[in-house]
Amino acid sequence: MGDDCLTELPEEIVIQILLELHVTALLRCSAVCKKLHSIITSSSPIQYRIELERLGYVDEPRSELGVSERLARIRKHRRAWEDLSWKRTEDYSITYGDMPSYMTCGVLAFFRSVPGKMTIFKLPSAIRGADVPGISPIACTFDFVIEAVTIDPEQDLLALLERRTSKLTPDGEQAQSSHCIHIRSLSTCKPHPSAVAAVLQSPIKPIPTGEFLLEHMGDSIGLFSHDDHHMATASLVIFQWATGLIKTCVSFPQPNVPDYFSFLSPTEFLLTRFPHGPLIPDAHDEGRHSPSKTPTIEIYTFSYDTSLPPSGSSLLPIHTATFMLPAMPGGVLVEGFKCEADFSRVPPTAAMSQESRPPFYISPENRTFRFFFYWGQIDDSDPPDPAFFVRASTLLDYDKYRHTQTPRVLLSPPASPSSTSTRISPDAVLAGPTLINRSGNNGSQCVAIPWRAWGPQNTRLLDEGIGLYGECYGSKVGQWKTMPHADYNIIRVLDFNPYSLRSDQDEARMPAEGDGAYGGEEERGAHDLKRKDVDSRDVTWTSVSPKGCLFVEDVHTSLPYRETIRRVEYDGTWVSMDEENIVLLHKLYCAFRVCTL
Amino acid sequence: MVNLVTSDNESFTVEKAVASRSVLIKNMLEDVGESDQPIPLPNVTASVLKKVLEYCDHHKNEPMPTSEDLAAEDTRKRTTDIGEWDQKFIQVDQEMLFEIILAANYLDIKPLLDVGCKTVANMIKGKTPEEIRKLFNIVNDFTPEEEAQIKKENEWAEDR
Repeated sequence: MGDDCLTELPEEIVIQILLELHVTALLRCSAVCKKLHSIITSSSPIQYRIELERLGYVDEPRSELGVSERLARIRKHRRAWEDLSWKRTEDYSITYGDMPSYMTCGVLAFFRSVPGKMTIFKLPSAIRGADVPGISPIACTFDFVIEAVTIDPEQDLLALLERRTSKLTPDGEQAQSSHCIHIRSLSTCKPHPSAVAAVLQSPIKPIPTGEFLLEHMGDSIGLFSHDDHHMATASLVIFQWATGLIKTCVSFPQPNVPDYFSFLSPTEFLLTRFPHGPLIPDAHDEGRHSPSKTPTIEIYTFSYDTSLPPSGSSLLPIHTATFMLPAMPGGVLVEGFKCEADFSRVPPTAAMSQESRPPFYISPENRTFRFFFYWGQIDDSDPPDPAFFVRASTLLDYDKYRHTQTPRVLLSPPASPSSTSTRISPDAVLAGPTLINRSGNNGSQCVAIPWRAWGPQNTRLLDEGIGLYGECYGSKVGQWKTMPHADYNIIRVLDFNPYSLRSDQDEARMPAEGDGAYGGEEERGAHDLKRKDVDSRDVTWTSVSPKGCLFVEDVHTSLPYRETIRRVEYDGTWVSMDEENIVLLHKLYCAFRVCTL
Repeated sequence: MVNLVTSDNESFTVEKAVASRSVLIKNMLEDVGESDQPIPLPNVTASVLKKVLEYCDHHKNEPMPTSEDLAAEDTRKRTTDIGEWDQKFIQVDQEMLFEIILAANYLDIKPLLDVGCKTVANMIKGKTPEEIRKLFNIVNDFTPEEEAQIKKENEWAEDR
């Protein structure tokens, strides 16, 4: 063996070594010498690995495709997104009132609450090997009112929350029916064959009206609810949908109940919380001089252990971290603070459906969460409703702040040594002052992460709020933009996957100082698109939201993203996406267009 | 007991369970049946075989990985760490490390090959191309233009 040991090894061993590396190290190896460069560029497994990491995807091991076919599909897929080059568009009509839509993993669904009806379109999908044009919907009706829906094509799962209707019993009393989640098969709309119980009953005391969120991840389904009236109560139940077992069940007492819930991982979820003012405002104060408020994103872990009784303490989630947002003046009335994110929700190892599987999935870490503040913009003179964007990987990485934060002053004795986090009592409502409102600052080991420690680098604040007119999918966010004085409109895709940045942008496109990320955007878009249909750029500069308007101090955010815009001739109002379709909803809500990449 | 003879003509007598960690030897033993014939290993020197047998001896009681395990392993995340004992075992100079990898490949000892490859990968991690060249004594055979071109193409993956 010569001096040059590494490159003298048999090629299959060099490949095995290289496959242990992440993409940065791998590509650095390709710059070492011609031999390594040639091995890296000619090996399909290595190239496939590079593409997966570049897109933030994970491989589906049980797909029957060979590695070179996977590589070919993923490359085509990446390039199509890079310049939004769809290969065809198809128009479909829907019945007015079939709203809202739900789109994930090759399925687009519309639902109508009354009468309960779902219209499900299976979208074309080249990566699933089902790239057939012309889609016909499956329509299903239900004998109950649909309150909320969640769908998982990978598990053939359609979960429907039935709206609770109070019926008068013969002796004049209100019947207390609990909240019901119907577990159906997406392909037949009949009870799901893998589910032990076709209907899951929530153990939480039902509320007559309110907001309900149904979300699933893997084998879990979460039902988060709060009532309409100033959010006086909220609750969360997480079921294992196939068995009906309850993994977590918790009520949140007022004041200051959470606003929104979302799964972060199969064992973690997040809640958002905005400190709401008192239910009856002080007449002399009108809220103007009330102390500033800090919205938070709270991370909880939950688990399910079948060896424990269903009512045991294992049902309580553990509050492990609180990400603080910038403080807002007390006078700002935020009506809601909610997050959204979408992605293929099932880890590859959990998929059950016999449907053809895609050879790769979006990794759960590579999702973008959008946190909206609905604070009630009325006209243009009001500051716009802003939205924060955060990557799931940032929120999942809370543990790294555990050792870097400055010690907090303990307001009460520390928790017992065995307890490293705060458990929430499910009886919190009954027990009066409980841990739930103060968990995170009453001596528990829950890590509280100040805004400055995590926010400026890991978030992007865009002053567009609900004006974004689109959905998140994986790391991408879609936006519809109506161009009032042009013969076309614009769709815009923001990709927060750091590897989507190209570093080949024209530096001259950078806006002037203090312009903000989107200042002058409309002019730029209109101007550039006169020359071409598609344009893209990296956004790497810092956005500034000046003090006084929404926040008590200047807020700087700099999470970079890739922005691609494309002009379209369609009267749309909303953009939804899955891995390879962009769906534009017509502004009259009577039709939609599927653009297949 | 099994008798193994190295390329430099040293002979090692080891338990069958130890020698059978090598799929190559295991298959040979199955083919020839009960026999006292020494098994020649023309691709392995005594110093390397001694080290490899040390590994085999330590792991002799572990179940052999089945073909399903191996298939599953390819698809699992690569972050599986090297065990504590293995880590100590593999702390050898670079020449021995590559010899062990070659021997593990020839003798078909998949777990040892994995340990070797992971160790080399760990040496590469976090290093610049120049540092990698220095580490493995590799000559840069790119022209400056070629090198600049490759760096430009790979820029997207840097510092994220």
